[in-house]
Amino acid sequence: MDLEIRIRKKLKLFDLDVAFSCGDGKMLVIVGPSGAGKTTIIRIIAGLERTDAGRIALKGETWTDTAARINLPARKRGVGYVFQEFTLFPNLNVYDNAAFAARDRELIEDLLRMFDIWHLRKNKPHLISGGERQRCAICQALAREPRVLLMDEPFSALDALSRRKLREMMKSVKRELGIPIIHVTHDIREALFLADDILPVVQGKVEPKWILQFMFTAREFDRSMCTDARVGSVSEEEDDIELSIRKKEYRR
Amino acid sequence: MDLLPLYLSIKLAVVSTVVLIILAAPLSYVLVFYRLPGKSFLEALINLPIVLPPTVLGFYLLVVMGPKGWLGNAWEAMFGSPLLFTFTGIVIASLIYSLPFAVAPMKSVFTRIDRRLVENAQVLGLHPVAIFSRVILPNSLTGVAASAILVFLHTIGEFGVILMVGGSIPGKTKVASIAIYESVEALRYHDAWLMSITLVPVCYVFLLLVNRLTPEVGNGS
Repeated sequence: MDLEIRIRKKLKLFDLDVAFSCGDGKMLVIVGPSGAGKTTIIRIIAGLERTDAGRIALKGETWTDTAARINLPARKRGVGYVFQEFTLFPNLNVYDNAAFAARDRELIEDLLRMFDIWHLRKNKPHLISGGERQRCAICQALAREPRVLLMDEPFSALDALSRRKLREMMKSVKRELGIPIIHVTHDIREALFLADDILPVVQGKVEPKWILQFMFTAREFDRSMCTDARVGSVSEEEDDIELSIRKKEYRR
Repeated sequence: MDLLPLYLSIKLAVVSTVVLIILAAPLSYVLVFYRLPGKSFLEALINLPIVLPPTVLGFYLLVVMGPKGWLGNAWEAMFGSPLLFTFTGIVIASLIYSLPFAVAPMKSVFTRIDRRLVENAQVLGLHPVAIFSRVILPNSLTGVAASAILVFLHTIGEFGVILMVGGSIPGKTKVASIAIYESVEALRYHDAWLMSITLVPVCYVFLLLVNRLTPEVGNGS
C-alpha cells in the first residue's frame, strides 16, 4: 500500500496501538468517540508528535521508524494538514493564505474557484465565515500539492449547511487528487458519506464492533444515505470483524 | 540651550531601539518556542538589569569594558581604540540595560500566538527561520511596537549606567538626562527646565508614531 502506518504510543489514559494503510486516491476515515486518540494518530503521521514505537512510510520512503531512529521533520513530509480549528494566518488575505506554501501559483486561482471563494480572495480571514475559512484552509493544504492529505475534524466547527457543502466538495475532489487522504471525525454519518475505508478507533485501538454498536443501537442515520464504505481494520490480522456496507439505502 | 545632549539622547535611543529589536526578536522566539538547557538561568540573567541598581550595573560594565576588562581588551585589540567614555560604549551599556524591556513584551506576544499557526507553518514546509519571519513576526507587531516604545523611552531616561560607562563628555557621551542633572547642580534651572520640557514632546511624538504604525497598540488590544 502507499501509506503504511504502525503506531504505538503511551497516552495518559490508554495505550495507542494502531496499524493501517491507505492507498492513492482513497479516503480513509478514522472515526471514534472524542478522546479516542484519533487526532494523535494524524499528528504523528504529520510529524507534529512522536510515537514511542512504530513505523510510517509512504511508497517505501520512511518518515518514522523508531527502530532505526528515523523521524523526518514535519516540514519535510510534504503533507497537507487541515486542522479542526481555523489556522489561517490572520495577517494574510484569502489568496495569500492559499498561496502560502504553493509550488505553482497558477493552481491557486483554480483551487479558490473550485472551492467557491475566489470572490473573497482579498478578504482577511476574520472577514469571512467559518465555512469559507475552512475552504481556504483546504485550498492552502492542497496548493502545496501534498503527497498525503490529513484532515482533523475539519467540518466540526461549521454549521450544518457549510458542513454538508464541504463534505460534498471533498467527496468530489478526492479521486482527482489521487493521493492518500486520512480524515478524522467523530461523526459516523460523515465517515460513511466520505470514506472508502473506515477505521473505528476507541481508546487507542481499532474497534470495528464500536461502529456496529453505534449503527444498530443509536440508529444514527439520515433518511437516505448512500455509501460504499468498507468498515473495519485494514490490517489482515484484525480483519476478522468486518462489515461491508455497499450502496445501501437506509430509510426510516 | 545646548541642543547637543538632546541630539545624543535621541541618537542613543534610536540606535539602541533598532539594535535591540533586531537582537531581542530572535532571542524571544528561541526562549518561547524552544526547549533549552538552563533556560530559566538565561532568562534570569536577561532580567537582571531590572532589579540591579543602575550604578551597580554601570560599575560592572565599567570593569568589563575598561582597559583591563575582557570586553574592553578585546575591543581595543580589534579596533585600536578604547570602549569606555565613547558613544559606542554607552550604546553597548544601553543595550544590556534595556534588553529585558525589549524581550518581555515580545515574549508576551509570542506566547499568545496560537501554536497551531506554528504547526500549520511546519506542515506547510517552513523552516524555523521562515516560521519566525513569515508567521511569528508579522503576527506580533504589537509586541514589537511595545518593545520599541519601552526601549526608546527607557534609553532616553537612562542616567546611572551612562554616567558610569560614558562619563559626561560633551558631544560624545553627555546625554540629555546628564545635562539636566549638571544644570541643576550648577543651579542653571532655566536650562534644566528647557531640556526637560523638550524631552516631553520628543517622547510623545515617538509614542504617537508607533501607535500610528501599529493601530492594535493604540486600541489597547
